[in-house]
Amino acid sequence: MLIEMTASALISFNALSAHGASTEAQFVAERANEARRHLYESNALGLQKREVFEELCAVTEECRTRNWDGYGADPVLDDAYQLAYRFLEALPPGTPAPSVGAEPDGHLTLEWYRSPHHTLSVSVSPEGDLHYAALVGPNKAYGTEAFFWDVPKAILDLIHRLHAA
Amino acid sequence: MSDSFQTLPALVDELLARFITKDFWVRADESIRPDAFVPPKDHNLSVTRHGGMPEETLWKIGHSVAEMISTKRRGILYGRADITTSDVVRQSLKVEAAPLPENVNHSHITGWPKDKPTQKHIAQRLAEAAKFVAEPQMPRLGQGP
Repeated sequence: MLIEMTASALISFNALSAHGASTEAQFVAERANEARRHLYESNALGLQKREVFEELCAVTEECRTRNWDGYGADPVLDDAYQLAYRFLEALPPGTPAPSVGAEPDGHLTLEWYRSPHHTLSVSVSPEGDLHYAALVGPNKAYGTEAFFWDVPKAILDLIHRLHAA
Repeated sequence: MSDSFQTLPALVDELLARFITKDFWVRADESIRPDAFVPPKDHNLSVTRHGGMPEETLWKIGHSVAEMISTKRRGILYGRADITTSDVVRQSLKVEAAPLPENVNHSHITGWPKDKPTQKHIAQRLAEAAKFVAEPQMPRLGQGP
């Protein structure tokens, strides 16, 4: 219960960080982010997340060179790795962990999967675009969102819909 | 294999193999991730038409794809994702023969839209239709060492 309350408070602080400009606001945002990091590192919420970061490293390492798939795939660049890392960091505590993959055009992918008909895939491009496609039962959704260090609402909503279905 | 075979249009329900050279393209339940069907930047997604080939020949081609991988680690063939030409046509895409010296059945799935989200959506549909066939010598994914 305490963790849940803390987590929701920290999500609110994170929203503040994007808009607060004063020194006080920055200080609060920095402390909140620090606390968030501690929360992630705790066993209660951090275990799954640590595994995803490890997976991200492993997939990136495996796909760093051209033709990593035998079909001439583009390499996964450092920019894509760093953006995917930041995206994972920006996920609110308690969000189910995705699995990591890569596409032949060099984008890293984060996938939330429940069944072939309940799935969301987000591609992280080295330019900072998040391309997503979801199947939620009979419904589909796809589009692009720019990544500005906060997980776009459209993507968060899809994650929640997927896991509520 | 005769030259004339290469230029024949793919049959409506002909099987097409996309060789799986990355374990993260197959989920634990052996369904295929859409990543495997997202086209490369030239929008020509490589597949191999079964074309009545014996399984052995098909796997040999798959191994030659895996051997092309240019990483420090040796390329591994995990299996193949089979779809039909009608799965492709249903997504308003085409199958075009693109024979290679080492694989006369090599083809491209073409006609992809330019925008990435629509490509991803189509890849999701192809992956949904695909059937994973494990490479016969490969321990089942998630159960190997």
